[in-house]
Amino acid sequence: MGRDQVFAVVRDTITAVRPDVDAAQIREDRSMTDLGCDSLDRIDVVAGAMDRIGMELSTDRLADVRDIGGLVDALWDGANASR
Amino acid sequence: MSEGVTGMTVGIEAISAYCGSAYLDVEDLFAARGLDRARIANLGMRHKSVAAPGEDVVAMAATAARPLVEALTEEETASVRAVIVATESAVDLSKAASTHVHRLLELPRNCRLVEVKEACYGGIAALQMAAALVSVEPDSRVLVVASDLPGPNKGTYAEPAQGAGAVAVLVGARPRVVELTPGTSGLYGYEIADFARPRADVDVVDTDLSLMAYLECLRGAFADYASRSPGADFARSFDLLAMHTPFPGMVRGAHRTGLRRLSDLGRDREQEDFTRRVEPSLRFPSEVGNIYAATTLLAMASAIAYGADPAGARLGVFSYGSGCSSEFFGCRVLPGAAEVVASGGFADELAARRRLTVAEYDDATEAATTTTFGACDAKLEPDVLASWGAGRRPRAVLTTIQDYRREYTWLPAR
Repeated sequence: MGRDQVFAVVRDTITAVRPDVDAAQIREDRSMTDLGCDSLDRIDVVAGAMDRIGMELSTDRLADVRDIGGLVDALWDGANASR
Repeated sequence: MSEGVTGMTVGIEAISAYCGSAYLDVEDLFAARGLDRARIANLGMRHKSVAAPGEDVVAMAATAARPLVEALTEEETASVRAVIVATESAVDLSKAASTHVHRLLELPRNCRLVEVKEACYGGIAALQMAAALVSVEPDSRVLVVASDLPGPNKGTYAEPAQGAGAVAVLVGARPRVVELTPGTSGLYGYEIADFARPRADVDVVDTDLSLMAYLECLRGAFADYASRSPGADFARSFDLLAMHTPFPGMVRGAHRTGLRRLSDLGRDREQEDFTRRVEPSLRFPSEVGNIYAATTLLAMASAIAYGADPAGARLGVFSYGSGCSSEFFGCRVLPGAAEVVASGGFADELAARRRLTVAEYDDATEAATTTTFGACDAKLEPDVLASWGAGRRPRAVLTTIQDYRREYTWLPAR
């Protein structure tokens, strides 16, 4: 899975969890908090994205994630490492 | 649920909670802080308990435990061979809070006095240590008290969920509340920087990391439990569930994750399952807030008090402490347990708490900072404390700190 595909999964998961979020506003330099997601929304997105990709990421890999781009990196690294 | 491996009966003989004599309405706090009201639904909180000035973790622990000790015969009192206080709001790095609690409760001196710490897991860690002590000395009892106060998070979304309070349980070989199954717990822990309290006035928190660690630990601890109890099923092995409740909405999310990852229950049945097995455990926490080391014990009491048919129920318990350490275990709710929980009058006491304005709450929170860990000198006025809150029962309060030495007294019920 390419990095662009991981971003697409994250974007689609955000709009599934929060249908009121405009997909065009989902950019790598923004955080989910910026988009109005609360903490439960955010863990739903992370868990949902992992489900869609079919991977399990150790929680400490998420320690330095600060924006959507960071989440995409963590998921992409994890997906490649789990192959 | 499998039987315990020790071959003897051990469990909770009695339970008592004290969660302050005043509360703040969560909607009032959202309005005053300018927080987004749309988030209240996911938070799942109605009210949060507030400690009176002078109610540090020692005072609240003693107040919670007093009814348990008063109900003991002289012989039973002599059987209390350990007092374990679990807290993440310690008042001393060396001296255990249980030394003060032991003095306030006038317990016998042939007794271990220790304190345990591992964030919100502390209360359940202490419960399991108590069960282990009782299992090697079956005529003994252990008093476990989990007691905590909030750290400073003014203006954040953590603040509305921060409660104050203590839960005391008497652990022994003649349980009337729940029977434990020693040796069958599932465990999962590892080092992670999701939350720490390096000073009394500093909470270092990464909310997302903490919630993800909670979910990872639920999966890991349940998997370990299931490996030791073959056939265990998250959806079918337990009639009731009680989980650490940083805020009730988190438990809703954890339940959903548990069902999807650990069972084959269809998504169309998640809501019914939540309402029946989990929602009873959230009644007390939604009135009190997160009381950290004591929260899982409070959720257990709530499940027993409000479960539709608790007698004989198989209760699954999950405790998570940031940092992190976690445990999943099963226990059996004993016939009459709901009556034992109700006999303390805790639900009535919650309803009778005095409602604070946000200004009164801010004053109380500010005053509490003068008596936290590290305070050298402080003087509180018992008359002022006596008139604070509802005060329906005798309350222990801190009266002075002189050269770091804390002195307490009992205020009578009003």
